[in-house]
Amino acid sequence: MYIQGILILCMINAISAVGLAVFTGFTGLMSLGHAAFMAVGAYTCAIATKTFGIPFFIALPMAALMAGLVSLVIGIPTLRAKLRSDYFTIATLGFGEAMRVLLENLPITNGARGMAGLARFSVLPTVFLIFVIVVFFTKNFIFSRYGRMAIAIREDHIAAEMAGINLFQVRLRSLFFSAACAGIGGALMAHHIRFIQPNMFTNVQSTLLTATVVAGGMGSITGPIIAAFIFVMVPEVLRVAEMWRLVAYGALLVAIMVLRPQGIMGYREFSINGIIRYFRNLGTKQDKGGTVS
Amino acid sequence: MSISLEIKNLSKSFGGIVAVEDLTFNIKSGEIMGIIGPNGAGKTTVFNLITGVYQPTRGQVIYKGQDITGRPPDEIVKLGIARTFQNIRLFKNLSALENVVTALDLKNPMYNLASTFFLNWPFIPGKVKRGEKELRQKAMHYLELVGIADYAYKQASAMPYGLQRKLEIARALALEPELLLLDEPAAGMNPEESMELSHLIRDIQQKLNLTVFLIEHHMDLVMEICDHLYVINFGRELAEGNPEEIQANPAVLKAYLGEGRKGA
Ligand SMILES: Nc1ncnc2c1ncn2[C@@H]1O[C@H](COP(=O)(O)OP(=O)(O)OP(=O)(O)O)[C@@H](O)[C@H]1O
Ligand SMILES: [Mg+2]
Repeated sequence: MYIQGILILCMINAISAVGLAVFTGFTGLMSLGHAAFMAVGAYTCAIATKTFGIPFFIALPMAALMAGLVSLVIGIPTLRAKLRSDYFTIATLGFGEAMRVLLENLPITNGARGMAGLARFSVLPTVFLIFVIVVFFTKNFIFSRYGRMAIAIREDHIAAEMAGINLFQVRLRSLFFSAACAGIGGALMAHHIRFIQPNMFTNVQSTLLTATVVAGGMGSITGPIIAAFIFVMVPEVLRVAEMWRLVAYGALLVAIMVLRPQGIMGYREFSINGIIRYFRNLGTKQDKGGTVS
Repeated sequence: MSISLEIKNLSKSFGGIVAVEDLTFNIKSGEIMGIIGPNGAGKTTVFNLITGVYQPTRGQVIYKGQDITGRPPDEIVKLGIARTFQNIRLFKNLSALENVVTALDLKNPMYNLASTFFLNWPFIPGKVKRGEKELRQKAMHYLELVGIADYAYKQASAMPYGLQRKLEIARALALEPELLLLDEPAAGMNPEESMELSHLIRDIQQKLNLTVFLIEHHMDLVMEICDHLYVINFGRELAEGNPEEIQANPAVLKAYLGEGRKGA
């Protein structure tokens, strides 16, 4: 039961991290507000199932859609203005806070007290299935012409524009996708913990999500998944007291950045072929073997 | 011969610096036009104004009779203008082939967003996989066209400098332009290499029926392939004419050729 709980948490975080990886890792923009999208997903799903009695499998896509739509509210003005990336990051920071305050003051969300007694829908098989579906969609998205446009922007946005790529459209699309994933993550979280409160979705949570992507490797999908698992499991395994949890994360992040500045996977993907190639290259002492995203 | 591009009274200042001042000239369809001038004359700025990277302070850019002044780059590319960059701007971490594939997407959208998500299953051939394969073959064709097919799977930033310039040309061609702007395509090349490049540009221009507008400091290349030349100095027009006329123009000799040729 305990192990199951941890696995569920790992996969929920991985779902949100994968979404954010599509945005941050592939368009190069940092967000410090993605917990807000988790919150939107969590509340949408909770209100839909609890208040309106809508079935979970319908409420979950609704949560994704709602988070995606809310992302347009912040995305359209900030991304259209082609704000420099640091301005965008600050805008997301403010947005995250604003969302939390909003949730604390709306009647339908039950304010700061939050919503309790949510049904346990996030059981292991369900979460696993959704995790697989999200990864499948993410992989399809990234390894397509849509992913290619995002990568081109990350590599050189002027050259990308001169290749006919509309920066605004591609960034907004990636943001929408990442917010929808975060929404799913939040919804699953709500029906796992079975209780939600606005202060569960703070900037600390957002920062952690971005740290997961950076630690996993910007421009990789498997990297952030691995990082999400590590970030849940290591503090659990060490059984660090709650107050030291953030310190443990910090130390972990510093260690990863020192040992592997490009993140766990860098631009690469974890694959069986990659492992075989790695060991073959060890034998022949060749340096470069992996394919680049 | 019809007019491809008309530049009318084009001016651009950056704060107090006047980079380009009142330039007016035409480029005819199917010709190779060269723009030359000393370092800092404003040549790259002209390219940036045509392609929407900068907004002009004054003046107009008219392409095939349509006013495109101030349009964003991605729209201008769609109308049929592609370019290369003086300070190479490749997608560095991608392979040569992927650089070209990225450009091909513009005029060859093989599948839509819905099929991206729902119609791409492992081990099952489908629209997306077929489309991707076709694009790769097409991209290979462009690499062959500029003679760098051997480097298809090499990371762009790991390619020799001269070949990176050719890759930029291949990527620009993959956008299927009618007007191609080349910003110092022979920079960093020795005389033989730049001669070879000039033949390549001629070949491609004829094969793909292009209009070419190029910036170059290698005078042998310029005189060899340009049908028409436009000379600027300190952002202003200095002379215009065919290569023979320009070579004989005293003002040009004084301002430009007289100073000695700049190789870089
Ligand atoms: N973004 C910018 N901001 C400020 N000044 C600029 C900018 N771009 C160009 N300039 C200035 O405009 C002038 C023309 O520059 P430009 O790059 O067009 O010259 P060029 O003819 O291409 O020179 P080169 O042969 O060295 O490439 C220079 O004085 C340059 O410093
Ligand atoms: Mg220049």
